[in-house]
Amino acid sequence: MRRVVTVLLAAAVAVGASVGLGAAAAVPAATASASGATGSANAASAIGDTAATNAAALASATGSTVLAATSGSGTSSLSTTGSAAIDDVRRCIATNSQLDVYYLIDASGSLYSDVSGSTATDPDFVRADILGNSLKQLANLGNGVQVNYSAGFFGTEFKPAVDWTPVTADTADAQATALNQAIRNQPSLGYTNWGAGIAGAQAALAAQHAANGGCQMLVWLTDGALNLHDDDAQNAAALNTLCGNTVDGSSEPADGLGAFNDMRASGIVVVGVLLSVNPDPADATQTQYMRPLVESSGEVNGTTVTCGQSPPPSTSVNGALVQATDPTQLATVFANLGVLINGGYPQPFDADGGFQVDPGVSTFTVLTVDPAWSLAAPAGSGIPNLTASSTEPGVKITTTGGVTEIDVDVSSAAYQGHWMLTTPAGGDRELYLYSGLKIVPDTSNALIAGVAGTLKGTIATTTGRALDLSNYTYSLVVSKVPADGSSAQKIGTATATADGSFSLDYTPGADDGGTMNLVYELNPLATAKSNSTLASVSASQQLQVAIPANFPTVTPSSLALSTLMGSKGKASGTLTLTAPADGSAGSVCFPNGVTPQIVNDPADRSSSWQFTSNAQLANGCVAVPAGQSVTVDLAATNPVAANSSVTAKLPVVLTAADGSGLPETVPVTFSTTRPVNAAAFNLTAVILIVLGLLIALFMLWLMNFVTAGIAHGRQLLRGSFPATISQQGNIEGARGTDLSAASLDDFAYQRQLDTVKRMTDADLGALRSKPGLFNTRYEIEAPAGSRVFTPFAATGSARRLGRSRGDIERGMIAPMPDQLNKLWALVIRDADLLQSPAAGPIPATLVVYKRNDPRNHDQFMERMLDVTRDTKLWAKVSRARVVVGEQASGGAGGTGSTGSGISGGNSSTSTRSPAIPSPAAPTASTSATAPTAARPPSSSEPSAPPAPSAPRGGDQAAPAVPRASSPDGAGGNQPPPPPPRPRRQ
Amino acid sequence: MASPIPLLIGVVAVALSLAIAVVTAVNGRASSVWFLTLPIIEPGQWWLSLVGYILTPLVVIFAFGLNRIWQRDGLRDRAFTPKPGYSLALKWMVGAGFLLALWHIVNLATVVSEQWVNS
Repeated sequence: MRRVVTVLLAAAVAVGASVGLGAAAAVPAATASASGATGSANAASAIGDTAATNAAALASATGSTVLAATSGSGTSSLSTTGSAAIDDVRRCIATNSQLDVYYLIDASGSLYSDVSGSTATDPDFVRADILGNSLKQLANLGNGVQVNYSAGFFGTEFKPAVDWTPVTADTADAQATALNQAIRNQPSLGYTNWGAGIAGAQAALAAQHAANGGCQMLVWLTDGALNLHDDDAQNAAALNTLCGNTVDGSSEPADGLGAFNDMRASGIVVVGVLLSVNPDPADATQTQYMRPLVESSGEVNGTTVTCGQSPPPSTSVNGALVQATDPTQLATVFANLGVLINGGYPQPFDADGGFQVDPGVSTFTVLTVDPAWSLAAPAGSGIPNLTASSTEPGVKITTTGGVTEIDVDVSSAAYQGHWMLTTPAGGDRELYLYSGLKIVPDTSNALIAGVAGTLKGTIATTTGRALDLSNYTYSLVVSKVPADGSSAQKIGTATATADGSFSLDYTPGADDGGTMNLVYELNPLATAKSNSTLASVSASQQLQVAIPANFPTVTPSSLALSTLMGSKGKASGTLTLTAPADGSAGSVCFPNGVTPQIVNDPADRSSSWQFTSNAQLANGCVAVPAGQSVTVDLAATNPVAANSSVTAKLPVVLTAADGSGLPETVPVTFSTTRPVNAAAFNLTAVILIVLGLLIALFMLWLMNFVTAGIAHGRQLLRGSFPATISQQGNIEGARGTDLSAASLDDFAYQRQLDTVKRMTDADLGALRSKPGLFNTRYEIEAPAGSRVFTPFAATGSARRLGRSRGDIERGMIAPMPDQLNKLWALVIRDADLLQSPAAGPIPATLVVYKRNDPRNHDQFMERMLDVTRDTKLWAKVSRARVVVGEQASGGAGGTGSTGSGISGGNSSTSTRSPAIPSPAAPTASTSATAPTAARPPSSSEPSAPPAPSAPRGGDQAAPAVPRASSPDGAGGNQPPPPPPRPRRQ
Repeated sequence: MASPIPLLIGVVAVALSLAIAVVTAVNGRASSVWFLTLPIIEPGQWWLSLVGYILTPLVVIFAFGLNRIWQRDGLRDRAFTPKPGYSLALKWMVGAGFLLALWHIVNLATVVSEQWVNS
């Protein structure tokens, strides 16, 4: 071995001991077995096997304790299922005495340094040594077990390596060397095609099973993930096919339950060995699939994944996955396999290395990593101290990979007593005790349904030593394993005599008709003297339970109805009642009518089931004339539809011509579905979703619409002032008017109104509320021929504003607050807006609203200062000037698409917006050319420049009048009149 | 101060809808919906899902809008204290309401389509 001894010791402690514990924990579930019926390895394993869960079920049936559950605590590298798999192998070889082991060895490039360089997982071919040594271990199973082995490699394809070859203790070294050399001579085979390898091994095992019918085990060694030409789709398909389940959603599985499930059902125990050296993180998920593949269930990225039938039915064997990050760990794992398969049960040492060997123990095995060990026999035995060089009879010492195995036959009374192991160099050590018992069911056992019978057998020793049952405490439990793979059922506890013979009276029912699988088990089993626990011993037997020839039969024995679809569907099936085989007539009675009793319906509809049949009942029985068959159609309906799997039972009594009856229960199973019309479902769902959204949105809009409004209120004042706005942003009164000197005389009380959704201002135009989904916009729509600007920002995002954004830029509309008393705005005629910048400040009309506050003597000055101090309005005016000017230029350029040339594409405004001269020709734009003069005066759409105020105290907007600067509409060249006072309105 | 009534309406609506969703799921029968098997409500109890559908999202959205409008209108009063937390909570409730609504919609759609199949 290339590894340092200390590393091996550590590995032995870390893995070997723990594996021993794990396996030992599973030992009580079953040990040796004997099949008295078929001689088939498959049948033997199927009969005798107890998967971890089934072992638990069996133990539950027998009232014993299954220690296998403790092996899942993390102290073992074998899972509960893995431990059960070792039990399966052990039980089978105790029955069959033939063990075929196939080594399926990964030869993908990732293991080879010439392919993968420094990331190679096993560049030194340590696997060759490991598998060679494991072959030696298996060759020394003893108890007359004949071991045959074969080997093959897989990479991109499968390649057979070694044909089936028998291995004995004498030939083990040579065969191990041959296997070792074959592995070392095999170059890389490319990718990692699990499917090809498994298929090749499966075919080889099937051929060997046909030849010798032995127990079979596949040791599948791989170092990483499935990889077919780096093609994810191929990988997914191959993985799903192996698993028999869609574990990788990117591909559908092939039909069937997968190759691994097939092997489990065929009695092939698969031991998957994952050599996880230099693991590729990209393969982390793929390698996790090994456990569900091998053991039928396992976690992948925290999610439980199942492959094939999970848990495996009681008629299948289990699989085991062993994972190691160091080849040396694997060596120790394989070293333990031989001990466990032989039926050893772990025992603790005393603190000083002593241990007790009681009468009833046939053999013990000590494993130690200390080459200087010595073993002292009980005092007075006359046996010298055993060391590595001892050659005492009954003592076998072998060293493999640094681990020494000492097997001592203690069937002689001289060997019983207190032994002492000394290991000067320290290190870990393990002790295993063997009972050397086996159960041999009587091959003459035969049962007839409804007739009292007796099951017999013998408890014997495997070594031929004299049996003394008084050396043990035990319970011999007999159980039956249903052919459908469900959990075992205890049928009784047999009584054994001193010579080992036992018997159990049992009367099978008609339910047991046909093949009946029995399991005999010594469990628990311990020595009487010190109560040292020993591995339990089990055996299996398959019997044919006959129905008496004078009774009719019912087929099928388990009725599967068709699927019940919907609330108006029907699940149906047919029972065939066949006349007695002896040629007489009979009848089949239905004590409860032809009405199965619901055993399980997850949908909880037991009260609404209705069963109908065409059975012609006379006194509750269907007569079956001699030599004839009668069919009984059975149908199940339920007005409540559900997706469910229903199980029921139909009690019947097979009645012979003489009136004697044989009760039988016919299981009835069927599935139900609650189908929906996909189109109707999707349509309804879409309608409801859309409706939900639309109703919700409409409600939001409606609420905004109802609550939206311009707050008018009491004592509202309005003033209108001729003004100018300069490029500096200053808003000043026209012709030198001092706006801040405005007083109540310059404002007019407005009529008291409640909140209104829309109103009209003589200068500003229409003031309106526009309710949206989440906000209500308040805005002013400028009068024709004018633009309106306010200091307020538009509410809502640019997306929500939509086309309004452009209108705001052009001054067609202007945002306003919802409270009118906070509003002030400038109205500028189009012509004035587009006058040349050199022409000076732009004439405008300033409209100011405020609420009268008599307590504040400076209320008007403060309000007007609010207006005149605002210097930001110019930015809006300037922007509008540019935009409108550009549009005017575009219109003048001959596009003609906008009519007036300034509408900006807004048809609603183009009809009321006159053509505007370009700023480039300001002389053409004067107030004298204001086209609004052509429009009739209107209180809602003032067509004239700022109007003079109405009489003080008026509550109506004054009629529009020409601007003071050009009352006749032509006054561009007139000398400026004296500065007027601000006018009110 | 902003009224907590819309918030209360929203909380009650979501809670009731959630309760209905749980009740329907617990008492439902397995049914194939798309590629899933879900516990769908009994056909005779379709009204429960309808109530849930009305509660979420409709009532919650109503509460959301009511809160928004009331808080917006309240700003006209200088003494008004807005509660942005109410709006945020109701916003989340609207989202949760739509998720709950999906469950009620699936139930209603299944009942409708089942009636379609069996009619």
